[in-house]
Amino acid sequence: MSDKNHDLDLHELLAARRNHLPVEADNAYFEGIVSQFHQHQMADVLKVRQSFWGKVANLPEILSQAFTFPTPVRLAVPAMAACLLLAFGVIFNDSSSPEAPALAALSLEEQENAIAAFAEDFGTSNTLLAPAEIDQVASLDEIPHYVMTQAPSSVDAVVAF
Amino acid sequence: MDQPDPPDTHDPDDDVLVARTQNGDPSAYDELIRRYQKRVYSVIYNMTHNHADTNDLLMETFAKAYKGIHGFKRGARFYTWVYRIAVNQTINFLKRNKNRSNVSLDNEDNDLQNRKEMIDQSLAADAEKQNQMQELQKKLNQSLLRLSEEHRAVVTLADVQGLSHEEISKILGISKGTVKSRLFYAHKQLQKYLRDYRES
Repeated sequence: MSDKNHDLDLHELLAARRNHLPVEADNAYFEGIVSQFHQHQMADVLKVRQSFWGKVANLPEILSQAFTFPTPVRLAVPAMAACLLLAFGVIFNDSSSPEAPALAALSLEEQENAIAAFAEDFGTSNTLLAPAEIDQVASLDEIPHYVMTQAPSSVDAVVAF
Repeated sequence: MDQPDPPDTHDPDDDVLVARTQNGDPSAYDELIRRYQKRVYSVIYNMTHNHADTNDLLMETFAKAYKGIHGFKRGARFYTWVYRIAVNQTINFLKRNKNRSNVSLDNEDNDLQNRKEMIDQSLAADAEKQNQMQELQKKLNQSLLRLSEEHRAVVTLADVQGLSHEEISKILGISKGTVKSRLFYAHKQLQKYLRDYRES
């Protein structure tokens, strides 16, 4: 066969693929892509959650030095709840954070679900979120410093709750 | 399954959707996904020939584009940018998983070239020609496997997606001359492989 015929065969063969997608890629599959993307973003958020707890693993110790609550039990829950509030504040409000786009892509309901999942780590309630102080924190790295220096009002609020 | 033709003009609606996304409206990005999901899927699938891998890479592509949307330059073409992300992600994936992806490609292609709908859509109802083309598709699959990821990308974008050399040069970040030379080399290689198969 001549090169010219090979050329024709090749272009015809390749062009035939233009109209082909596998049977798995049907209309139902493509209708679900956006939903699947949101789930993918949710998974990213959960990875952030794991990363966050890794970063703040030593916070109880830091907090025990920062506040003078009467008993360790009374300290632990509100202090960590305050951290929870602060962490989400940081993630939600710091647009330069690499984690922020993952959350921003979610609907409000999905964000609430993510928050609830995050909150369950400490058996606390997502109704504790949204203190005014969160806007003052610029990054996750500043949380320990912030909690030690400025967060008592948040902790008091949690205690009151 | 049909896919839409690749866009050949700058769709002004894309700019609006990108701007809305940059301003914090996630529903605008959902619309961009809907608009380009089939095209991006097709690019990735024609390089991997594996639905599961394509699906994973599709998600990673849209997630990466979303994360980088604030750095997207207004006036640029969104689809060129998202194609570039898809192709780069796919090339990296194929290089990382060379042995595994070759196996999956081979298996998937055996299935692909036997599918009735592909034959029906691409050829007239000529049984003899269908059989011949079916066999040639199988050989072409094996031939594509022997190309480098970069050459396979150019063939996919040019011959399967039908994009111009200029569009491909923007997507891959290479000159038009390099696009042409890679395409020329890839065609020669594929023709040689097909000839070898026919003569063997």
